[in-house]
Amino acid sequence: MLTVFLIREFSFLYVEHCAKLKGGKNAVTLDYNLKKYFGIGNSTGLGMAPFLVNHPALLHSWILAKELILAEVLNFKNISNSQNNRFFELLKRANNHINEWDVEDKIQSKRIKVLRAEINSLLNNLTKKKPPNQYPFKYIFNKTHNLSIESQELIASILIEFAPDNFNGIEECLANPNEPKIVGSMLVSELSQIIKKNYDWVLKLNLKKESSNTYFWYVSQEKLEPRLGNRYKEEGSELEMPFNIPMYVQKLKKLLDKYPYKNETTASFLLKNPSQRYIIRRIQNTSKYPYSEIRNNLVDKNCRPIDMLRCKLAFFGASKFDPKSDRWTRITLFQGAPIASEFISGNKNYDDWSFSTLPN
Amino acid sequence: MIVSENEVYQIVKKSCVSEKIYEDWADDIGKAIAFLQKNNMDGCEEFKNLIYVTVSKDYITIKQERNQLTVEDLNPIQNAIPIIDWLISGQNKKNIVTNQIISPLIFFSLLAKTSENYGGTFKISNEKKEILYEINTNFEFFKIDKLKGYFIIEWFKSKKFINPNNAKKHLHSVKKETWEYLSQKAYNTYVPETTVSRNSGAGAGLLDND
Repeated sequence: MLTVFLIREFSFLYVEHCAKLKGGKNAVTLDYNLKKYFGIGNSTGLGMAPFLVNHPALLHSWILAKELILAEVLNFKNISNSQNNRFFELLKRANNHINEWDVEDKIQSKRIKVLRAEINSLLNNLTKKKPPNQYPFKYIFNKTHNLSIESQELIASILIEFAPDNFNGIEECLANPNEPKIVGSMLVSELSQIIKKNYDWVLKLNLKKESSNTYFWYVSQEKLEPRLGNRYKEEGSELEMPFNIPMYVQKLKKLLDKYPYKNETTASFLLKNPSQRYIIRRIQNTSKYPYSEIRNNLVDKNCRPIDMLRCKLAFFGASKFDPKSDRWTRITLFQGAPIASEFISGNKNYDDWSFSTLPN
Repeated sequence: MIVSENEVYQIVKKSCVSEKIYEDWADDIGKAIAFLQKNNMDGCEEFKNLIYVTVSKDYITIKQERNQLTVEDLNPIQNAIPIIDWLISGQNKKNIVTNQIISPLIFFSLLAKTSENYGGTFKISNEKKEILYEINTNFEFFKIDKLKGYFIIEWFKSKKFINPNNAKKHLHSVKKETWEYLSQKAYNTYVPETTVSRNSGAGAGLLDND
């Protein structure tokens, strides 16, 4: 991210340098506000999705950090006038920001249209009828329950701006250095219970349908990047990456159900069923991390990898999400972010740059 | 040639997968080889030799009697990983008896990595119960070609985790031909792209080059 920021900074210097070479004394520097508005565009593809599948504990840490702040903010019994004003300032800013968010993708366009209408309506309603004095943020958040996910997440993003000072440093919790471990001492019966409890969503899936096993994930020879193939139309499914989590869970469940020694340890079970180590380790580790597993069949015909990409990119501060298919998207990074000189200029508000809009 | 620890891990993991070794074992073996490399041992060469000499990569069944496992050959890519899992599981004292440890260097590295993650120390003794090796995360590796005879392997649990000594770590270089051999193995796990897939990759179909 630092590199991206530096590229943005370099681009400003480069443009101004070229202008000076060409225009000499007549050259002008980029307008300060316009400069700030420039973000860095990026096209991001399927690689992001395998990353999330391969780093379940990390995914959990990211979501947990967000959820912890949100829960804290929703529990503010009262807020000050300045906090109230700040909320409305951010909501208006967000409202303007989404009005400048136009994409070609039909699904996303539709979502943005709904988002615009909902946020505009929420802003009007909250202006007319002020939130109550007690738990105002919870009141506002509850108002989004029947709105689209886009609106819910936008309001959540505004609310986490109110993280109290004692949450400074929570970004350190975004890392998760714990190695996934096999808990060999866990009894077979305990493992079965965890599957029932945490993977009930998998047990409800009908994986016998052809459509539930349409895709396979692989690494391409040409670009060494993850790709998605159709196993009924393309070659190479024998080399697929192990992302068919629901199927592995169902297969393991069957083996465990038939296994007569429920009081044996998982380690003993693995001596007889060595191929099950991958999914057992995953199940054992994700049981400690409730936000770690993507609850979807990633090889199903209806799987939309783009949603996973967006989730990950959101944690990098990406905005202006612009899907170009269900497998890759354009995004904007650092739009509205400070320019390097501001860090030493004494401007204390340089980091207040969420929901930037085109300067007048 | 100098390659990073992560490159070693990735290439070995993929080489394992190309040899039809379970993905999860491949992960542990990749980390063990990277660990050897970091400890100034030529783990990649050792791994290359191991997959070369192990003709059949099939799982070797293990005989279990209460708290003892008996296995004729202990091989890092054939049976060592579930055996180590079993050894460190549960409350009862357990041991493994074997007549041969194939590629002791890689096996010891698997033990050292296990010690790093789960704590404790592994002890390998002979039939006279003399301790030959004590292995934990700070084990000083040295070249051992093969171990034949009668060996008992045990794990001594410790509540105290041993801090890895990173100060002395030195990344061993990899022979070019070894790297090329492993890269070729890894390449076998990649799939030729189809036009459909290429056209749905990031940036596909755009001409504005951003």
